[in-house]
Amino acid sequence: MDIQIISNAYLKPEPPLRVRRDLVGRAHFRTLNVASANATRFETFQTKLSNGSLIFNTPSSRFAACLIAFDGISTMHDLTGSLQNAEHLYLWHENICLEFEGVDRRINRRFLSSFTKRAWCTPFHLPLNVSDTLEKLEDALKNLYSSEAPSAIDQLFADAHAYLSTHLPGPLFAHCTNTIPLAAIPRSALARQESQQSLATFNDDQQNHVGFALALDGYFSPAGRDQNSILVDQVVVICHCKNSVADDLDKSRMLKECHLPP
Amino acid sequence: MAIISPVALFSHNDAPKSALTKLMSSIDPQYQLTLKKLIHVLHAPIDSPRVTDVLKGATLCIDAFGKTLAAPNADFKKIWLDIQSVSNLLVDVSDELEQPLQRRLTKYAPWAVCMTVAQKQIPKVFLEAAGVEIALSFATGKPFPNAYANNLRRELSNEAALDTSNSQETTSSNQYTFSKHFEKALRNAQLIFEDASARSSLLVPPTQESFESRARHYLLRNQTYAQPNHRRAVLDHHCQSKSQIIQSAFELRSKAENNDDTAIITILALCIGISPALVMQMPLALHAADDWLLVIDVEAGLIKTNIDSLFPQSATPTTDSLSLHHSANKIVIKPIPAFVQCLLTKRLSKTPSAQSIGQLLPAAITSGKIFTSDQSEQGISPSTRRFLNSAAPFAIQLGTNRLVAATITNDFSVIPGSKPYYSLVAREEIWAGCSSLFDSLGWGAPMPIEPGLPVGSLVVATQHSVKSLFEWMCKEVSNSMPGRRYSFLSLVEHHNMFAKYCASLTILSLGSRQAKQLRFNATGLHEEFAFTSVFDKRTGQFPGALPVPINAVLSEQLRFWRAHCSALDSRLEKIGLDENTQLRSHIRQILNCSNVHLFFGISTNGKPFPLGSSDLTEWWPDRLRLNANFSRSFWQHELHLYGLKSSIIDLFVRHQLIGAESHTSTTHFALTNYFNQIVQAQEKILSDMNITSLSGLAKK
Repeated sequence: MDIQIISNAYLKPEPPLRVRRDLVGRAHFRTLNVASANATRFETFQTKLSNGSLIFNTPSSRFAACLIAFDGISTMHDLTGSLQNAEHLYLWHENICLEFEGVDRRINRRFLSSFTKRAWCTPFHLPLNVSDTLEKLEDALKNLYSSEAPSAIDQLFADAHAYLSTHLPGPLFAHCTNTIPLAAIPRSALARQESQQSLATFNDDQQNHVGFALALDGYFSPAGRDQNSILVDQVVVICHCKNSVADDLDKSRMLKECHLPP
Repeated sequence: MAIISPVALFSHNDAPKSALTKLMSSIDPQYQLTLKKLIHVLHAPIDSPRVTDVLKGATLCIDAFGKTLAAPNADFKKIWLDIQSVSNLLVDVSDELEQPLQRRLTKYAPWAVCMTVAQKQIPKVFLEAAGVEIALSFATGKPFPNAYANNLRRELSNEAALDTSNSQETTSSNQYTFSKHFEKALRNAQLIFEDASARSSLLVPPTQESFESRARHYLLRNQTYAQPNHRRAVLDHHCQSKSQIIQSAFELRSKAENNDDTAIITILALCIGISPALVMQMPLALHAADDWLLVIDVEAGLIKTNIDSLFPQSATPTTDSLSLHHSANKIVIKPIPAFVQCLLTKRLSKTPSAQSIGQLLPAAITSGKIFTSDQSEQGISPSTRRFLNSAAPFAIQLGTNRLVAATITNDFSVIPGSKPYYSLVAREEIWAGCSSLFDSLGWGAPMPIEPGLPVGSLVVATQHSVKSLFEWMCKEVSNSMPGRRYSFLSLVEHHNMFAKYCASLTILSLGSRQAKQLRFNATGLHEEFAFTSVFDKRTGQFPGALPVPINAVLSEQLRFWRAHCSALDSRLEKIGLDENTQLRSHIRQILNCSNVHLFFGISTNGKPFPLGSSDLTEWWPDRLRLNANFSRSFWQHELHLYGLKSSIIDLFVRHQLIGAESHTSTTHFALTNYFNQIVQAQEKILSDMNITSLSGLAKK
């Protein structure tokens, strides 16, 4: 399909959907006449991006385009947030995760698609210069969209909304368009899920850190600076659970013997 | 009766001082309390202007109201006498202004009304309306409602109302803004001021509502006001849990087999879909009224429901087009469990004169609060009401199609309200649904099936009729194809037929509704699109366009249509038609995907016009003429037979079920998954019917 012909119909990016809220806060989506054209154009954009027929001046702009095309990034807020955090990718099970701050300071996370991962592997400077990346992306998209369109990225977002409206379940679509945003589980919760244990909390006092480190050092490396493992030995003895005593009483006893406030 | 206490009287902030003090001193102390009450009731201004007139007006009002009472009691007579006496004692104490309440009329409306009443002759209904409120206020201690008084005052200021010629006529009170409150106040006042003995003799005994009327209201109420969770077929706290339902059903059967009338009634109530109290009144087949809604045939073990009155004004085929549609009727026939039929037959043999189920099962308790199971340890008590409420959600959760589940439980709240107007349910499906339900409840087999017509819409076109129609259209288009030597007229004739064929196929594929002008435009409908937005009826809470998938046959047809338009433009150019003409300009806009009508005909003067449904139906021959909405009922039936879920078909025909809408932030599926299923089914059915795309003047 010739994108250029269809895009002539639009002089400005028109939202492809109308959103109405009911009394219980649900969003009802109504498609406008242009939605089908927008969705088709977005599919063409995906195809061209995946087969490499779109030319980008910088790898970072290709990375940004992949985020929009394959990772459900469909608002400027999410795009700038994800580009700012592009250097903090991490692995969770088999997924490469990109975490960024969504609307209302919610945690937003995407498992990156293989296309986006490939684009990220192309070397580019980190942290990304977001404004420069957006400028280059706009230049690349100008080849796709009608020159009359005020902002090619905005037009691409409108196309993405039309496409995602039929390809995502309702809650996820409402999240991606920030109509009803969700919040991702914090990484600390993921860590708890992974370890099946509660997380340790540390006092910020530097002195305690040092003392604790020295004690552990003495325990694990008897040939080290502090060749005395007695502290940890004592703690281990004190913290040995007694089955005959109730848990809370046993914990109180441990704290008392460690000279800590109960 | 609560008469206002003297203490309450002086809580009034605007207690009158000057004029009132003079008046108080001029009357006997025994009437002073009555005067104070009146001042409180009528919300007197601080200067209490024209108090004599106001009291005179109040007396007239009370008089008028007193005449409406059939038998005034002692309380009313006391009030009337008190006001009469005070009014007679008062004399004008000073000269007053002509319009003492100017710019204060709204604030002191009750006072103003009484003043007007005393000064002018006004219709009787106004006097009664004011009098009833004064009397009530006297009795209850509440002041005259200011809004009501303002309504009275505004109506009084109307010239027509003050027309003395009309004042003598009997005026209906329904035309006034205060009428509603007046009627309510009148009812209350009659309760307070009429003798109870006299009132009881005047009361008309309430008419007994028929079973048909009560059952109809019951079913319609359930359908209209069902909770969204119920519509979603969720077994929530208004229902029993699955294990409770099965346990209840088991215990009910045991009790029923031990001749417990209540258990039999509860089982029947679940099968019929109405409350136990209504089941008691349900007539046996031989004793049904002419306009019956629900009857039970005890010998055959069948329940019959006439859904015509539940879904009125459904389309009916003309006598000429009967053969084009599936034969169907409006009577749902469904079985009861065989063991219940045995029990009822025994009862009927004992009481052959019985006319209703209640007479067969006289000892049944019809309360919805009694438990259906003795094991009530769970959090939710297993009441009869909950058990009956669970029928449709439970049947749906068993895997029964929603439409069938609604039919076998008479709970139409689990399907969109318009679905019964379009769809058909076969007798075999009803029996299969009942078998599955009874089996899972442990009620054994239903009564044997009695073959019969499907139930539902009477205008579901058959595959054969649709196929014949499209064969006829193909032939007409092929016959009109211009040769190498063509003229403008031959081009126009062929174009018009081809445009109508394309429009017909589009209507068929998209299930669109009848329209004066087909609302498909070149921007939204294109061969490359996966879906198009259709908005052909303002319906639901948020009317608007909804996406409908485009199948491969339609997609190919749209490609042919654009190729045809391009070829037509070339040929028109060769004929010598100027490119600035309206016709060629319209064609160019279509090729440029502009926002113009996609399907257009060409009139005899060479101008384009948008096609409408009537253009198509008038073109179709009489023997094959279907209604313009035929595709909606056609797909409802065919996609149902193909095996698609009821909710997917609703998505296609754009029917919304409150709480389970398919285009919201709570929709649990991606639309494309359902679109693929719809398109796949459509292509298979169209292929079976040999309906394909057809080219016009060019293929490319």
